[in-house]
Amino acid sequence: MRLLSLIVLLCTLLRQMSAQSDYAATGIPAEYFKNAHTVIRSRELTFTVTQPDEAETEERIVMTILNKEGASSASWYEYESEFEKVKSLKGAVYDGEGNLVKESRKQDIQEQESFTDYEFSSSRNKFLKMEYGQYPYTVEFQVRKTIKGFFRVDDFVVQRLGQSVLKSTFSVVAPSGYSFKWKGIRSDVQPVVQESGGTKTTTWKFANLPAVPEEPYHPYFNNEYAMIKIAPVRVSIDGREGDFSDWKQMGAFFYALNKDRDLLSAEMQATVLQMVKDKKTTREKIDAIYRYLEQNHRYVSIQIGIGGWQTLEAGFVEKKKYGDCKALSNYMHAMLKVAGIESWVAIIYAGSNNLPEWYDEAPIPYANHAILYVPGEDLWLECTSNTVPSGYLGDFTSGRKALLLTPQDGKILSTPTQTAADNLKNSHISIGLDEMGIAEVQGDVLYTGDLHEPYRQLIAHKKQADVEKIFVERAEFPIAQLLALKIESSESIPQANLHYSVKINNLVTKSGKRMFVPVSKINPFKRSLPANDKRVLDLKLRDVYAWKDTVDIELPPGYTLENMPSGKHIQSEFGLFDMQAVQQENRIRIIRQVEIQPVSVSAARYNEVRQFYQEMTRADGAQIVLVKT
Amino acid sequence: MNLQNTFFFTLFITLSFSVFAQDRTQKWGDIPESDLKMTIYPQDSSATSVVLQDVGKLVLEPNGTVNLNRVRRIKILDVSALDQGNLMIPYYDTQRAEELRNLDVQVTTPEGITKKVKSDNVFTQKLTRYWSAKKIFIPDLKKGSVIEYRYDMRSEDYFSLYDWYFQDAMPVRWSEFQATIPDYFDYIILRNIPHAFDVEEVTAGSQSNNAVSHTTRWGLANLPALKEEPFTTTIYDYRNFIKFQLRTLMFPGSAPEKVMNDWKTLAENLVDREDFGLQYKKSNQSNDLWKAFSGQLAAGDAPEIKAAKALRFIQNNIKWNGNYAVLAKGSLDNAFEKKSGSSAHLNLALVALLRKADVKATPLLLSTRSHGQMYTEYPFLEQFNSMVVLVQDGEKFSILDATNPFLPVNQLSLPHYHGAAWMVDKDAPNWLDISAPEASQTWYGKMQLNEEGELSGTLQIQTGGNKASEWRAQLDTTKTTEFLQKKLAHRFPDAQLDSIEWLQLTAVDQPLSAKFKCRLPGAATVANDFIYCEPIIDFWLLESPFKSLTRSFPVEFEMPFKSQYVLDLALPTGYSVEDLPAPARVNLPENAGKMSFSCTKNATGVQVILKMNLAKTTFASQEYGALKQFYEIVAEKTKFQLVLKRV
Repeated sequence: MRLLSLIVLLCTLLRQMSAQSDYAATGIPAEYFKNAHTVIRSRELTFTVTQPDEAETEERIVMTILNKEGASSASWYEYESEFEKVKSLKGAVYDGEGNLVKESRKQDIQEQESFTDYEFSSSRNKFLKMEYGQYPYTVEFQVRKTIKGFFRVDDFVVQRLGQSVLKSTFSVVAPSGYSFKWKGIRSDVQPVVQESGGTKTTTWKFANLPAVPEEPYHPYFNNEYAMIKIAPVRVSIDGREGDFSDWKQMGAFFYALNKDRDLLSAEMQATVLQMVKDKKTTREKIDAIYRYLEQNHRYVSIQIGIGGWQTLEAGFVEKKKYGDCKALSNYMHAMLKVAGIESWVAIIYAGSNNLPEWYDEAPIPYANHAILYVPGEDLWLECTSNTVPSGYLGDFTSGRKALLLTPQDGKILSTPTQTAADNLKNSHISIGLDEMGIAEVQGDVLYTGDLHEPYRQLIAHKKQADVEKIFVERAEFPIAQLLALKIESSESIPQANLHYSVKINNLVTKSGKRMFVPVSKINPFKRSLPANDKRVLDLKLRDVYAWKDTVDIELPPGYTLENMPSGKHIQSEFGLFDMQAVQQENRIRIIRQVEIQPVSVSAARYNEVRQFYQEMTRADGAQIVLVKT
Repeated sequence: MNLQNTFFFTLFITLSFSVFAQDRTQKWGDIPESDLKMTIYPQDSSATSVVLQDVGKLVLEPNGTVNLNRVRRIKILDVSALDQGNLMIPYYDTQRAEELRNLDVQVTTPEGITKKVKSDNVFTQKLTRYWSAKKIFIPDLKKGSVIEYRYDMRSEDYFSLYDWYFQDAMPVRWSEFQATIPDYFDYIILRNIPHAFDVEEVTAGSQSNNAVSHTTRWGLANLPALKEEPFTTTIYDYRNFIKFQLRTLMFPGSAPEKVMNDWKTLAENLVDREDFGLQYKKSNQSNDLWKAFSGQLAAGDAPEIKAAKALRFIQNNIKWNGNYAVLAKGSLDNAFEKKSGSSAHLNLALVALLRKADVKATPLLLSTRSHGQMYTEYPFLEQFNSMVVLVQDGEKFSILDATNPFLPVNQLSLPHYHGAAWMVDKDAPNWLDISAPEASQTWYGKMQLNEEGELSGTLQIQTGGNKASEWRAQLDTTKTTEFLQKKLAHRFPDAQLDSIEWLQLTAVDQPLSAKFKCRLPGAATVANDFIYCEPIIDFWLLESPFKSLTRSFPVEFEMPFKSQYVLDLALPTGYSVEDLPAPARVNLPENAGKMSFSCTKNATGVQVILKMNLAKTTFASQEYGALKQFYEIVAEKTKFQLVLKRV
């Protein structure tokens, strides 16, 4: 018994001693702490193609977590589905001196499933959390996965923002005849290729990469900085073979996968023909069918097996009146087909933040959404919405590449890019003031594009009483009384109209015999970037919009104008600000224009943009001073 | 006042009438024409869907098996509510027993056509290791349809049966719960009901298997949709429910077995538990902790010094993992080794160290703010979800919380302030009132205004209580200059700070202050012969957080606070004060809150003083109007302007 304890103790000691050098945070050279939240000490990932449609991955990573910002990296996530299985997932955590604190047990692996009520998925995330209470500490993960049938290899992210890398190796092992394309992103490392015994091993080695700081408003998708993208040429999934050497072939594969799933019942075909019977133009026909889709179907996502890439049959959606993006797009396509209108499903990456890039040199179907394209009308249709007018995309899918699945082959086409003219706010506001400074404000506002969406959604989901409550709660100004509120959205174009009449007690501030009226309190312009004199990353801002506001301020009885803002005009490639004030007898009219353009500039120009916004914001804070006579 | 009374009276009559006029519980599939044709729910025209009825029937078998049958009926009033056709029913699912069975769903169109929802629309999804959910996607659902679904659940947990929530995010026209319980079992019933039940009746006992059972029926009608409001402790405190806790088992032929005893017994049981009392009573659970800590004690340390040292030691050596708990699995030394643990691990470790250091320390159990109310009259453990520590030194008491490294003695993390806590002490199993100490923030500035409208000078900001803890926590991850810059950036994006001096940055039991020089270009508007200056650079609040015109639930703040702003402002030469604002003073009734404002001339310029305090933390919904106005006045004063004119 005693001997056994001694052996155990010795083993532990030995392990700790050997651990010291590898895992102790003190082993990290000082320059890798700068800008870093985590440091990859060593990492090896091997992707092995075992059969034409089977692969294995084996990964080992040792990473030091330096601070709170890096703590999320102490959890390791793996996706699991019918096609991908996690064979083993092990973790360990070491303290700052490199002493082993804990090794994971099987029961430490947790699963993360879908908790939402509108989706069912047969896939899941497995994860292992190896946190320790004192920074810095080091985690180690070892993962083995098998993949059956694949057409996408996960990007090898060499370096994330805020991460230093000491040593990292990525290998693709495949039979000699197996071919794939690859592209290095923000990395010019060339692989070493070795062939022996019918096996080709391609290895990229990375070493000593100091961290690139994580700064806000950068252009990189998902904080991924340097990476290697792998695009297999011959693919196979669920027994179907395909060629992904370019977008054309890839599109053809997905087209074939989804072909002949657009049959509607005779009854439904008759319904569609009835819908378009009296419609003269193609666009009118599309609108009628699109409205039918929106008003009778809902988004429900059921993902089983290959269902991630193959649509449910149109007949399924016809019967159930629900489906996911692919199923609803395919169903819309089926209805249009009955009406004699050609349309193609397009796969796309949807989202309002940074997007993953698509590269011709390494075509990879990096997508999460499907929409529909009508070539004859050059019209895009988002088929999962219950509210938007036909042809409206919004910042969720506009201005990016989509892969069209046409009967001939795949085609890359970009969705329309939004301009400031697409996202407008035009308002006319009248402010009447009494001697106490209590304001009665009437506003008429027209919104279009992205700016109109919240109003469309609000009235689509809430009835008037709730709409009023929400309007009051979200207003920029404290409303004392809501006298009138009317919100309408257009059926045919992306536009909403807002009319309101409110009483506001504290719109103006009073001081002795003066009254101060901030000219933009009803709809202030505020935009700022944090101060940073040492910006490293490029700056990217996607917002694009234009406001035009006319504010009429009626002077209260017994007050005269003491001061009002002089005109202001600021303009640059980043936007425009213009404010003019005119007194017309007892009324002051303020006309303000704001235009914000998308920004994509190098770090060197960060402060230029920052100062521009600051100047706009400052100019917008102007006030009118009234004095009692 | 009179008018209001009349209104209430009328409302009451109407409600009662509708309650008694209808036969409330309809049979499966038996949907009245009026419900099929309904387009607007008369009691709430803003509802897009409504629960027409929700009936739960619980039968406890004499062997302790609990059966629940639930039948629910939802009316879809608007297209936007079609998502109600996605049902998700979570249930406890282990390999031994699946709890949910006999799921049955059907839909009836406004025309009266009823269709069963087939099983290919039902999916089983695993949620966690022990929980699964049935996800049902109702096909071909149309506006105006009525969804009905029913299922049975079964469990062996006769200690707490099933909870029943009468209210929902949409309005509920009728919700009813029935419980048939053999007289062997005696439960206490926890109810969260605004007034009385619309129906509460006990039917005569029925006999089966030698057990006499009684059935009780509770019903509530016309429940409004439950909508969250800001500044509430937790919405669950306002959701109508009924819950059960087993008090006594009285099997025939054997002596009654008290499950829920008195507080003394509960304390005794806890103290002897492996995962609670033995953690600090058994010495070997915290050997490593003690070894690492004991060196910090000096001979002759008073109990309060020992308490402060032990608190700092735990706070700095074991990180709170974000979980609240009463019981702690694994030894305290194990948590120390992993440097991580729940609120129970950390605070039990604190108790263990203090006991080894001969300080009287007792665990205090409580329910965190989001966990819902406590029941001082019912001694059951499940009402608690976290713990802190009570230290007694003769007549002196102090409370300690190790979950946050920035808390001094006598200050708990905010979620732990929920009005009361219970002492796990078999000799004195008492309840203590616990309320948050006052937080504070003060500004003192000595500034000069120049002709260009720039303010410059020194500013000192001091924070105390939980405000200081909040600052210290933020300062732990932000650079100190950036931190202050951000604070001032609300009003002055161009603020330039230097010579920052921090006082008591690390002494968590002291107020924290920052003293610095600052320049605020553009702080004042210069126009013609005038300068207009907003002299309040920052305050506890700059805008009122209360926008809504009405309030359903009380306003509950986490802590009382006081705030004070004093600025001595020197004016540019050649200018004189043109207009001084009148002083102001507002008191809320019963000294619940006060504000005062003054702006006076002195030898070099003017002195501005703004003060605000809130002594009360709970305001009834009837007091909302006054509170909202109070906040608006303060917000308005923060924007007041001083007018100077060139002489």
